[in-house]
Amino acid sequence: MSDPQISVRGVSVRFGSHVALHDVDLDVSAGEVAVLLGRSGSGKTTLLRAVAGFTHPSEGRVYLDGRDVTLAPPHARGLGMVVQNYALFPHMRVADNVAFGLQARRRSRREIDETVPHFLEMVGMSAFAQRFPRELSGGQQQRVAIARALAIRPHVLLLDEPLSALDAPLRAEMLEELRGLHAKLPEMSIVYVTHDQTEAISLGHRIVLMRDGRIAAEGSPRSLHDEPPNRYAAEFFGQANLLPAAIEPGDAHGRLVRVCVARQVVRATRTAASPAAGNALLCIRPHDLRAAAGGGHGGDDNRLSGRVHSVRWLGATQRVMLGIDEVSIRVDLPGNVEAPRPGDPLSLSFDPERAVLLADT
Amino acid sequence: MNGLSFSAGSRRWLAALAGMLVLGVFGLPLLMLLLASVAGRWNGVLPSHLTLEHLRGALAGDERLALWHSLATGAAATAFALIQGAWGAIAARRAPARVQRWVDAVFLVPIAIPSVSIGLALLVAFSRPPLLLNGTVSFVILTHVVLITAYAYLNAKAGLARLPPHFEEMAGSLGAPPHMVLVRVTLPLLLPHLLAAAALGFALSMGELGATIMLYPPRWVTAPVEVFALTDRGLIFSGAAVSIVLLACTFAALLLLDRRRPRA
Repeated sequence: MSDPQISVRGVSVRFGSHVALHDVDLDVSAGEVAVLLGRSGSGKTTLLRAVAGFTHPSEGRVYLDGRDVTLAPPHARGLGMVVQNYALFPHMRVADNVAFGLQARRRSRREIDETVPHFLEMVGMSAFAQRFPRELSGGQQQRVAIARALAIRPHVLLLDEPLSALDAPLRAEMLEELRGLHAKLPEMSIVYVTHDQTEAISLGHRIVLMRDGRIAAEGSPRSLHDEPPNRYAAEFFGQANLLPAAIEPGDAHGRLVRVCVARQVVRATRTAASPAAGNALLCIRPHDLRAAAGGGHGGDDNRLSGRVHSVRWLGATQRVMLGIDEVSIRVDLPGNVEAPRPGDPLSLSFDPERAVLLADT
Repeated sequence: MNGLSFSAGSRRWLAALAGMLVLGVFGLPLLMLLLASVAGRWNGVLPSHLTLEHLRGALAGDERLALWHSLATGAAATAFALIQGAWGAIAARRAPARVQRWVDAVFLVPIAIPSVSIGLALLVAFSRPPLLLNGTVSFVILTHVVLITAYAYLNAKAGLARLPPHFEEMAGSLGAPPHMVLVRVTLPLLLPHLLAAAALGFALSMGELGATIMLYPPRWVTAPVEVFALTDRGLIFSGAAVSIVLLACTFAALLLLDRRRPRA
């Protein structure tokens, strides 16, 4: 693997007595899209700002293309950046906004005259070059902000919640455009901050899940979804059911093991994050459960049976809350099947490969 | 619902009351001044023998020169005060809170002191070598700068407080060095506040009398000093005419500044 384009080593950031980042390590390779995902206050924006140079680490180092830039000012880092409120200069026209970074780099008039239309065209804003930002919609402003960041041809593009000010349909459209842009500039690394897991899954090659100033989990969207390394990742990423379970004695080896959940024995998958024996959490996604034919349980059918507490129709799916003893499970059934009624018995079957065991911590 | 709510009738009464107060406090003195500037005689309730002679006089001779002195002093003092006030506010904004409090105090002290006292203080300070400014035009301008810089500082500070940090950060991330961020981003975004400061400073300078009268050189009589001198000699109508022309000049300058203000 090539050297990382961005390398963060042991970075901590303190604001007075508050520690916003604790000893964070992060590498981003050339062409990679790394998404920093987390709730407000998790440290994701602080980490991005430390990479951008707006926040200086209290400890640790930041490297760009192998160069130590820990104390370098933002203008010496050569990064492109787009923020949530776009921050287009309101007193400049669209073309002047896009030209700003090139002028700052003392590029020739000719180069500026060629580059600005090129990037405005790339984001579909050629017709708006002479407008002021206030004359544009939110989505248009976002496109201009991206063109402005790309015009300096950065190796790294930092995006801080760039779509959060847009409504849902426009957000989906812009996500597609961002994917398309990256396909056009495949060598460019992107670090994308968001609290929205849909954006993270859509865009990220790798998701870095942050919590309390630390990296709680990282991996590809699929690996985090299918095999979350810990309870927080499972809960945050995809709202998994986490059911108290006990690994059956004698099942200490092998990928598939039998576990007891609410006095019912089912099979589940052991991963690197699973305990060897004893108590564990059975992690299973609501959409990986399906209503089983018949009411019984056990055997090779891998079933859990219980009683329906509530049903909420959501259009494409219906969210069923099922009670099994003291345990409550969320189930997403297709919206076009007959809904069970509260109080009905219901058996759920699932593929043991889709249910993983986690440490109960 | 929170807040006060009034019936339509009550609102009309309140509006009428507010209108009468404004008219009484601001409008009536202005009207009297205007009438005095065209009065030939004023023995009754209203003036008689109306004439434009005083206004013509205000635009000629020493009066015209005094107006020019006021305009020049106002423009120069406003420019210096803007540079100094904006520079102070920009320089202090990233300083520790303790330093900012000191800078605030230094810039705002002239507001708390009567202008005549400031005039006296400057007179004492600059009337002997090596800082001998007494009797110079620069001294008048310097005095006005001292008096109005606080307003430039306050306006610039308020503008900076309202300026989202993202603009400057973004300019920096695009590769702009600090001086380019200041010239191309910060100052243009501060422009409305700087223009408001300029308008206020210019208006204050145009009307300044207390400190100026302590230290003006005979060859640099400003319009307020001229008004004072005329009325002191009993030439009330001439003084009123100079006041009206001074008011018109100030108003025209403020209009010009307002036209430069970026529209939202």
